[in-house]
Amino acid sequence: MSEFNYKQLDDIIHSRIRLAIMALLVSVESANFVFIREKVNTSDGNLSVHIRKLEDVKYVSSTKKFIDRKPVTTYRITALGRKAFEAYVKHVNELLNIQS
Amino acid sequence: MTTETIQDDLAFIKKIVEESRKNVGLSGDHLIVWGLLVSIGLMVTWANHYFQWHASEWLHWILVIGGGWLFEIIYGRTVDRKKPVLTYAEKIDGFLWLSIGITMTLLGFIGIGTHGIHPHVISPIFSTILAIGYFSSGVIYDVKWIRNLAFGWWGGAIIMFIFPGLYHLLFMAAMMVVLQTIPGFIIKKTWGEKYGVN
Repeated sequence: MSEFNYKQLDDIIHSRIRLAIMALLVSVESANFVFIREKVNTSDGNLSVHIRKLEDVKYVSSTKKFIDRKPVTTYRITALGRKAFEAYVKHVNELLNIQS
Repeated sequence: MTTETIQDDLAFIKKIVEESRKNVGLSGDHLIVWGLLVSIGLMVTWANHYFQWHASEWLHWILVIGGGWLFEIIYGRTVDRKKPVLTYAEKIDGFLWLSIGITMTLLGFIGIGTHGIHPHVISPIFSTILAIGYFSSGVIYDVKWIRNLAFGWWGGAIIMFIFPGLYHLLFMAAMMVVLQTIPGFIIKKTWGEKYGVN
């Protein structure tokens, strides 16, 4: 049985909400804050904190625009974020294969 | 980490990805507007020839096609801009139909204007191009009946190529209603209600 180093798992992605945000953004071109909040099923504050962490490490980028005089923030996954997500899924799959 | 936790995580990722992709961005509005505009344009062109009005066809087609593009610009800046999510399928489909629209506009105005394309074959040519659009859209969104509309457009093109004549204009207008406008209403009803898009 081969060893799996759990430290290889990306700490930034390895949180339920951030994982959900990444999974959502990896499957679409872009999504706005409200859409992500509804899909991830969390509060405004909680989502803001987690999405900020993803932005800080450049996994996610954002653009702000005004629609009907209301600010709307749209998010999309970056190339770095996509790479990190793919690596995360790969590591999780490896771990699953080792344990089963 | 337990196997259950990992499996739970993977199932969670799968669920989010699948739900996000379900946001079918099919918009019936584009089909309805273009279908009605072009079918009216075709009927007016037919009447112009049949009743020998000798009116300028260029002017009326500039109004028809210009009106369609104006609608696209306004729609893009209002409705599309407010969409909460843009899927890859929507992006690909959007660019597909944009390229089809540009191609048809070029063929219609420049192709006929330079006498590179005979006006008698423009309807069957457009019919084959629209078939490509419907076939591709149906595959992109995995909606079989939309994909199958392409066979109607291809079939219509065969008939118009084999049997040329002025009736092309009315035949094409009828196809625009049956294979474009009506599907547009069905799409609007189906996906508008299901996913909150037009």
